[in-house]
Amino acid sequence: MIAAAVLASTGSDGDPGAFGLVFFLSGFVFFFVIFARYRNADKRYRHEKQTRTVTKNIEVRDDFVRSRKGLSNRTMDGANHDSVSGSLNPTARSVHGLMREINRYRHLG
Amino acid sequence: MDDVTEPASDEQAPAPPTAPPEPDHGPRVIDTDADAVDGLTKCPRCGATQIALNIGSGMLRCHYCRDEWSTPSANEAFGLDAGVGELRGVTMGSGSSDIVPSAEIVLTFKCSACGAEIVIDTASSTQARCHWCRNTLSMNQQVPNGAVPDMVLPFSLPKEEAVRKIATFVRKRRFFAHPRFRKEFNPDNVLGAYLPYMVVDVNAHAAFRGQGEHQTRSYTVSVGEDRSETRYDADLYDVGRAFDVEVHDLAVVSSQQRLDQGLSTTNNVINAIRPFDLENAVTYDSNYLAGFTSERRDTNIGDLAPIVDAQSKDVARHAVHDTLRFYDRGVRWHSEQLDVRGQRWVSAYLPVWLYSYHQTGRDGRSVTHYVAVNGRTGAVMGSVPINYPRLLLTSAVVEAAGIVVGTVVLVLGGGS
Repeated sequence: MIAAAVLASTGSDGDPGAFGLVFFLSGFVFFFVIFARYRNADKRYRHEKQTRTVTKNIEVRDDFVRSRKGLSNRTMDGANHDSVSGSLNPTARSVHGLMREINRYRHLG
Repeated sequence: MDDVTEPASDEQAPAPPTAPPEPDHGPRVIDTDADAVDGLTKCPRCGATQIALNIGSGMLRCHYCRDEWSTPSANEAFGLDAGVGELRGVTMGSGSSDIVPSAEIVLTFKCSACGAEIVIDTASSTQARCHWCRNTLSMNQQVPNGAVPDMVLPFSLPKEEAVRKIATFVRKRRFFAHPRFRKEFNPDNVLGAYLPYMVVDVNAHAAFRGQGEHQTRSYTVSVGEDRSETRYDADLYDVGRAFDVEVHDLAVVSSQQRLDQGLSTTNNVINAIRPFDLENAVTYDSNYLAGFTSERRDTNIGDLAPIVDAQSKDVARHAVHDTLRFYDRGVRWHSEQLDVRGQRWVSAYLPVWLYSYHQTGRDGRSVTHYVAVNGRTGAVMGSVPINYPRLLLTSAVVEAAGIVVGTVVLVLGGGS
């Protein structure tokens, strides 16, 4: 997971030499990958996706506001449509937030 | 005719009288132990009390005459499978009622076969065997101590299968496992445990308002002399979603100890083996617990309501994802409302095969590591104690190799 995060931070459009930086973190990445595999501290039940739901009478509003140019982030600032607040596992909440932030800045080389 | 006085025209009209608040009738209670009997529960065919779950068939079996039967489906008996959209206020099973602090945990029953007084410690079981006549006494009536739930989901995964799954799980994690754990690990020590959960149906109306962005273009720009970055153009929209939502069978663990899922515990792995097929739960009978251990519920609806509310909002937020696909850059909700119209709470025992290993560190702090197997689906998750000296040493070697390779890559990359 941490490895994926590190790799995600090196986009294909970044400086090729920066890929070498990943190797400087390899020991730390290895430690956290093994820790995660053995302790599974971030594992939780994904209630938000695995709970059966029925939605009815949906009212939809989609009103164009304006166009935005030259944005540097790959995803919307403060996007929270996939956020989870009811998880009992604080580690999972932290990892979820970390991955979301990493994903936002993965365009940076 | 009503005696109504019109206000004078030059006076400010008084606020219209508000309807008197509805009298608080409290929650509607489903009686889930109407026919329950404490003491000797006998085989309907031969009258023996040696009854236990036959995991192969999912039914109760008499050890003497081999007759098999089961208790009714909880969904059918209590009407749990329908009407979520019609729920108003709080409905609860009688086995979900608040725990009375003064309620006894250790209860004494009189054996109706021989008259002996038998003690049942409801913290870990709802059965005991009479030491005089060898009959089994069961506790099926609900007393306000959290020991007898509304329903139970019986084990369907045999112990042998659970042992095999736990052994496989640990075998894949042996190299960096703590040496004492590797030496002492014996998957045959797995225990079948019924853990307490609250199963909640929610009828609500959700209203989300915010903004979303749809990407229209991406392109590369030069930053400085030798760097480039990606830039994005996007259209911004005001987004709103309002809908009725039914949440079915949201399960929350109802043991205070299991609710703690921080890093100092490994309770989270027990939670991670869900979901359970709750539609197959049956009305409670202590004989389903024979041969297993159980953990008494020690929280009330009021304790768990904030968790259920937060999780219901999460479920509602994700329920409309399909309608947000256009917003490929995401949606930022700035207003999230979930008006709960009705809830139905039912307490349940859910089946888990548990291997536990107690590890005490040099500083005296201890952690109990669990490897848990879902007693229905066989899903497995666990925590294995780590041999930190070995892991740190190996990580150092990997780091040293990484520095060498990274330096080479940087030099070659900088030269190209």
